[in-house]
Amino acid sequence: MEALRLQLSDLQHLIPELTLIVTALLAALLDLALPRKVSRSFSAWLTLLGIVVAICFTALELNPEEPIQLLAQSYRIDDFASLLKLVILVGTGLVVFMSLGSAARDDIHHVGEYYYLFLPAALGGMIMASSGDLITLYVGLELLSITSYVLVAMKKKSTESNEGAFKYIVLGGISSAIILYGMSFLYGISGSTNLLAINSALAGSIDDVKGLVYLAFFLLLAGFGFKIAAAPFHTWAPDVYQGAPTPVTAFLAVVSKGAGFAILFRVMYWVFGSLTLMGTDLQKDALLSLSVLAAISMIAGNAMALRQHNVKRLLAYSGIANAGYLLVPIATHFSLVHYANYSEFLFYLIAYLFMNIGAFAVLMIVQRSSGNEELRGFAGLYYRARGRPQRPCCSSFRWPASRSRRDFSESCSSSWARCRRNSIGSAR
Amino acid sequence: MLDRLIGFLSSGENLVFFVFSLVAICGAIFMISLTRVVHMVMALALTFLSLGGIYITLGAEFVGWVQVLIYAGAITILMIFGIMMTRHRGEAETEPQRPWHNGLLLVGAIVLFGILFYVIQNATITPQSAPVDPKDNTLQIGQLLFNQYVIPFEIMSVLLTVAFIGAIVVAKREED
Repeated sequence: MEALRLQLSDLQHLIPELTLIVTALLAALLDLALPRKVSRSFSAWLTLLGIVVAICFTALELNPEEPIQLLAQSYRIDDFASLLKLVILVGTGLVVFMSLGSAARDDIHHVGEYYYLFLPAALGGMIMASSGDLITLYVGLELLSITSYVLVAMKKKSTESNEGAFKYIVLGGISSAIILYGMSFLYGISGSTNLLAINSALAGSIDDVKGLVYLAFFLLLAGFGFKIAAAPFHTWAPDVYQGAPTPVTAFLAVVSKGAGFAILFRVMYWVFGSLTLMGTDLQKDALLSLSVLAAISMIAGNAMALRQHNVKRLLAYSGIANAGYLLVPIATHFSLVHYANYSEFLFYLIAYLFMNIGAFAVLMIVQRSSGNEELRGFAGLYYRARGRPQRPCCSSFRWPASRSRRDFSESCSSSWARCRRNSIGSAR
Repeated sequence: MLDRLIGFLSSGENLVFFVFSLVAICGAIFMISLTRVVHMVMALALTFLSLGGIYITLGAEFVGWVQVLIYAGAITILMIFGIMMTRHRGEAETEPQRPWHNGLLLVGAIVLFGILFYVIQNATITPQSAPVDPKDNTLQIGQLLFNQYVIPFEIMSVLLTVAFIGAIVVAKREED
C-alpha cells in the first residue's frame, strides 16, 4: 500500500480551518502578552474577524467541480460540508456578536478566553461536517465537546453554572464513550475506519454479523442522541442551558446541535442508510428507529415545555422538539421520488439558526432589563419598552412561516406553547 | 452458546486476557465505590496497569508500554500530587437511600449485559489479516500517524491546547 501523504498544495483546501487555528493562537498569545490594564474586548473583535475571513474562504470552496478528498476521505470538501460549515460559522459569529460586552455583566472573569474559545469549538464543528473517517469525525466531536464544557463553566461564581458544567462533562463523557463503543464494533467488523469502506464491508458480511451491526447502530444512535439532545437522551439539556451564560446557551442550542446533526447525517447516510445497503432490512430498521426517535423528541419536547417557568429551560425543550423535526429529513427514505433530504435538512437548520439566536438575543435584552430569566420577566413588556415586543413576536412568527408546509402543524404547537406562556406571563 | 466460552478459556493466552480484564473491571468498580480519594487513585492505577497488560497480550507492545508510562505512571502520580496539594475534608457524605432507583439501575445493567453477551456470542467474525506487521509496530504507528492520520493528529494538538487553557481558566483562583 502506498503511503498517503499530505502535500503542501493540499493545505489550500484546509485554509478555513487554518484561519480559525491561527486566529485562536494569536488571540491567546496577545491575551498573555498584553498588560493587565488593556481591555480584553479586542479578543472579541479578533475572533469575529477570524470568523468572517473563514466564512469568505469557505464560500470560495462552494460548488467544487467534484468533491475534493484528502488522505483517504480523512478530510473532505463537498457541498454538504461547505454549506454546514457556513451555518456553523455564521452561528458562531452571531453568538460572538451577541455576547459583545455582555461578558463583564455576566460575571465572567476570563473575558479573553471566553471569546477566543469559540474558535476551536467552531473548528471542531467544521471538522465534524467535513470528514468521511471515523477517527477524524470523533476528534472533531471531542474538540467541540471539550471546548463547550469549558465555555459552560465560565461563570465560575454561579452555582447553577458549576452544576450545569459538571452534568454536561459527565453525561457528555458517557455519550462519547457510547459512541466510541459503537464505532469500535464497526471497525471490528470491517477492519477500516473509512465510512465508505465500512459500508461496503457491511454489505458483504451482513448475515454473519447482523447482531453486531444492529448493536453498533443503536449504540451510535444513543450517543449521537445525547449530542443533539433528542428525547429520551435529553435530560442534560435544560440544566446545562440554564446554567451556561446566555450566549453560550445559544451556541449549544444552534452550533453544537447543528454539528451533531452533521455527523449523524454523514454516519447514518454513508454507513447505514444508502449506497450498497439500499433497500436492505438494516436500512429500513435504521430509518424506522430514527423516525421513532424523532417522534419521541417532538412529543416530549413540546409537552414538557408547557410546564416550564424559566425561559432558558423553555428554549431547551424547544431545542429538543426541534431536534425531532431536524431528524425527519434524515429518517425519510432516500429514493428517486424523494431525494431532497439534505436540502430540506439544511433549509430547516438555517431557519432554526436565525430563529433561535434571535430568541436568545431577545431573552438577553429582557433579562438585562428585568433582572431575571423567568417568564414573568416578559410581563408588561409592552408598557416598559414600546416597540420592543414586536421582536420576540417576529422571531416566533418567523418560526412557523419559514417552514415547509409539511411540518407546519407540528411547529405551530410548539410556538403556540411559547406564545401561550408569554400571554399567561403578561396576564399575571 | 456457552461452549464457545469454555473453548475460549481453555487456551493459555486467553486465560491471561481474562485475568487482566477481570482486574481492570474490579479496579474500575473499586474506583467508583471507594470513598477516600487516594484509594480511588490507587484503584484507577490498577485498571490502567491491567489495560496495559491487555494491550501487550494483543501484540500492541508500544501502546501497552505507553499506557504503563503515561497513564499508570505520569497521570496517577500527577493525581496523587494534586490530592496532596489541595485541601480535603475527609467526611464521607451519606447519599440518600433510593431503593427503587438502585433496583431499576440493576435491572437495566443486567439487561444491557444480557443483550451484549448474546449478540457477541452469536456473531461469527471472520478473522482478518492484521493491518500492521506485528514486528516493528512502533515504526508503523509513527508512519500512519504522520501520513494518513496527520489531520486528526494535528487537531488533537489543538484539542490538547484547548483543554490546557480550559483547565487553567476553570481552576484559577480569582483574586478580587
